[in-house]
Amino acid sequence: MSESLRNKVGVIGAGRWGTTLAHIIATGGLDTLVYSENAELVANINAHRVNKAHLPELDLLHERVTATATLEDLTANCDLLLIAVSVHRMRAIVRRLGDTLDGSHSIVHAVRGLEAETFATPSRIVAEETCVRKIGALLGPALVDELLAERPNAAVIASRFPSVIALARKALVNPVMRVYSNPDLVGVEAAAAASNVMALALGVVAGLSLGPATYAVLVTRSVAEMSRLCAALGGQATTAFGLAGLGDLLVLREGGGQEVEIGKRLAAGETAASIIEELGPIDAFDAVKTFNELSIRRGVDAEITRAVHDLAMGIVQPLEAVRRLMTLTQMKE
Amino acid sequence: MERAKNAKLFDFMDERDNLIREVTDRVVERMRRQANLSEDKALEYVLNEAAYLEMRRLMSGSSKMDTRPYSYWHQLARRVGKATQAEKTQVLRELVGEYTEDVAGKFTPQVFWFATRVLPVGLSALFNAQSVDSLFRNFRQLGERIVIEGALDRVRSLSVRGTLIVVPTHSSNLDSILVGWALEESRLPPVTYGAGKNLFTNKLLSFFMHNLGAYKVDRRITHGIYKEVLKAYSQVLLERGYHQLFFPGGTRCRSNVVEHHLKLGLLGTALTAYTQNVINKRPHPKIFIVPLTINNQLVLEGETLISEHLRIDGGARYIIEDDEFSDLSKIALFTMNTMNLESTPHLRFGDPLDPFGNLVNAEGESLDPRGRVIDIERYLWVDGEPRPDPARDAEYTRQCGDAVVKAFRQHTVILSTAFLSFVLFRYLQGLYPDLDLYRLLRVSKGELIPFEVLYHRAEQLRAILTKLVEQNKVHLAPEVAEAPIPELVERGARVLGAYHTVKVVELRTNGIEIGNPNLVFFYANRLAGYGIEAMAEVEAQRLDVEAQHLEVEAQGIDAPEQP
Repeated sequence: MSESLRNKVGVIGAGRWGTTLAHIIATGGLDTLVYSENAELVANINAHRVNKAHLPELDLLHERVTATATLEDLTANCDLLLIAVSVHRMRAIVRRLGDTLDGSHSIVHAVRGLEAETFATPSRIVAEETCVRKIGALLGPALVDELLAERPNAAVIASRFPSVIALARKALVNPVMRVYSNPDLVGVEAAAAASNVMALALGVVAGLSLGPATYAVLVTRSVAEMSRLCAALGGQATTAFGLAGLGDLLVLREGGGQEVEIGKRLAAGETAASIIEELGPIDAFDAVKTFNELSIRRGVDAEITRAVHDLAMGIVQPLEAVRRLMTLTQMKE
Repeated sequence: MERAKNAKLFDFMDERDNLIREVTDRVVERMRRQANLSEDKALEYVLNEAAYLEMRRLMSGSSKMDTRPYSYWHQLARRVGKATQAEKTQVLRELVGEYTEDVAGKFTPQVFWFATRVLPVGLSALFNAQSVDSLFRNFRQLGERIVIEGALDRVRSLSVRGTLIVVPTHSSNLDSILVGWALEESRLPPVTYGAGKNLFTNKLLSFFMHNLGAYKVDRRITHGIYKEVLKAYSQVLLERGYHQLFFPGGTRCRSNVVEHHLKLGLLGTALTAYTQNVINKRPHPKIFIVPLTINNQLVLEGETLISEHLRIDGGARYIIEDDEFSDLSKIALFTMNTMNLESTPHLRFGDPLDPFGNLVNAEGESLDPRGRVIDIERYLWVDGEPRPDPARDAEYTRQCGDAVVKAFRQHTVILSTAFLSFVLFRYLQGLYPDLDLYRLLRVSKGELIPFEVLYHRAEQLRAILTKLVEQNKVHLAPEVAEAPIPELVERGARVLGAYHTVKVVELRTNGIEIGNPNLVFFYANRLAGYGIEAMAEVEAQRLDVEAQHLEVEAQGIDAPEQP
């Protein structure tokens, strides 16, 4: 049964990704309401249609984009809500959001990562903090710069509810954005989160100036490892071969993502502690710790994750980590 | 405490004819509608499928339970292709009416009160005990020994605010009788439930089954018309406010693990009925799902169930008719042994749920995970009004099933037999790490496990289980939580040594000897799925990491962050 988008589409988070999503949705002809806790930012969007703090390259947001600083305003006016905040901040925001939601709302998050300690995927956070059941995830290799430059992009919308997939497609599909669907919500979230870990490993290989053969082996084995981690979290192993997973890994590598740059610093002998001291919290390190712990608890063969973890924690040196991977027991592909 | 005299089930015989008519009309109408929508569901196809499946079944032998003979189905198969739409509809109506009549129970209040009072004596008569005095004494003691615990007050409160569906774990054919009796003991209203038609062939059992609220389910019939009848019957009962009992695992659990694969079809009728109640604006539309764990020290049919689970020569049977339950002397032996052994069964009611899997408070209000009251009608909204949506509702039901599975695990009560069996089985696995399960079970008979090893491992297991209890993930029977370990081990061994044809274990002077490895595996399985092995592994890994850190510190390098 097809639900219609009768109200505005809500976007939670007026950062770089959230503002871009709002702009893209509005460009497709739908009224979009962006939520931010920052009253000044909200005022600027409403008065001047700009978000200079996070999206300075966009001169003018689409006229259908408006902003609000109250969650009640958002939930009263929107049936479909997109969440675009970091995984660290997600639980606190969603918990407050839960005060004003009801079972008719649909929530789609665009958050890559797992919550530290709990291993919770973003969809699980929504399920644990609100009454909403119709939950989905929008993940994959779409990039802000590419979208704004109107180059072809694609993402995957994952949900076990066909109506959520249909709503998200109505909101997002436009000439520069293809949206594939996948019912394996947990698998898509796990693959996207694991790609952060593998991108660090690719950065290490680049930092050590290892050759294309090493790169090819690492990409291939990373996807195999991501598929095992997906399965360990309750997803389908094959999901790791899709846009969230391999697609994310390639875009992080080719797009010069932060994770790759951090991997290069690990290769130069820095540790997670020293990098965090300089840059503040980094999602990829949380992902490393989380997936390492997960693999131990669930008995998953995750040697690349283990190597990146031990390297980031200063337990092994970069070349020792590589040697450890190369001297693992020989196995079938 | 007041008896639950106002339960809808007491009106059953007054509405029976009307109910059968409604079910019949609904099934016929639904199948006609589907036939018009889809070629696959055309009436000719539906009737042909029924005829084919019934002929195939009856070729391998008929019984007095069959409503129509082979010749009827043979003729139907021959003439259905030439029949007009009206004739096909008429045949369908006859079949649906007949099936519904066969399925419907025959509950009468007077007989119910009588049955619940004489049930203990009636069962005792089956068991050939020595004197009426001792029968009453034994059964009174049995009643006192059965622990009924959990969210009883909330369930009582909900029983007058909507319709209950009690969903127990299931490992014995005695379960439905036990639950019926436990509900009455707890002053909860009686429930109606589907029970295998084969159980009605024994007249005495049939008497109790019918009058404790059972309706007949013939699991040999596999065609679509019959399945539609069962589904519609259950749904109409729910819509009319009849409390029900489903075994959501579908059948007795063969392996004795806490069930985690549920049959969602029946569970889904809760949501369908609720949706219809909301759309039709019925006065008490709510339906509450009540998980219940039945925790037995010993399982009557344990030997048959585990041998079915372990069958590798062509798969296990779904319907078993020749197990210990079909042998009254076995039931007698089981009951007498368990009475003598203080082997207390624990029936534990979990927190009631709505059809979406949300927790429900005593007022019948659904709560979100943070305890906020929510309006569940909103889950049904499509463009601002409640509407059914099969794809959406299937997912809601799956989520509700997950909540029931979680409740089953959380409200399982670990008893001494499961506890000891788990310790023993883990020891055997450690002893033969290279053997697969089947070879392990073959070579373990006669193995003697010394007490000192057992006590050490039992301490470790209790420490892990205590952590799980603190996390509200399982419950322990008092003896498992508190008894000194040697006493707990001995108690478990004594109970395991009773009843089964071959003793599960035997107490020796220096340890415990494995008598029936299959049953050790069976009872140990109750603790599977709690991640106990993984918890032990994480503990070992943590110690390993700590050792690495100490080593790094000893080398004078900055200690890495603790993972």
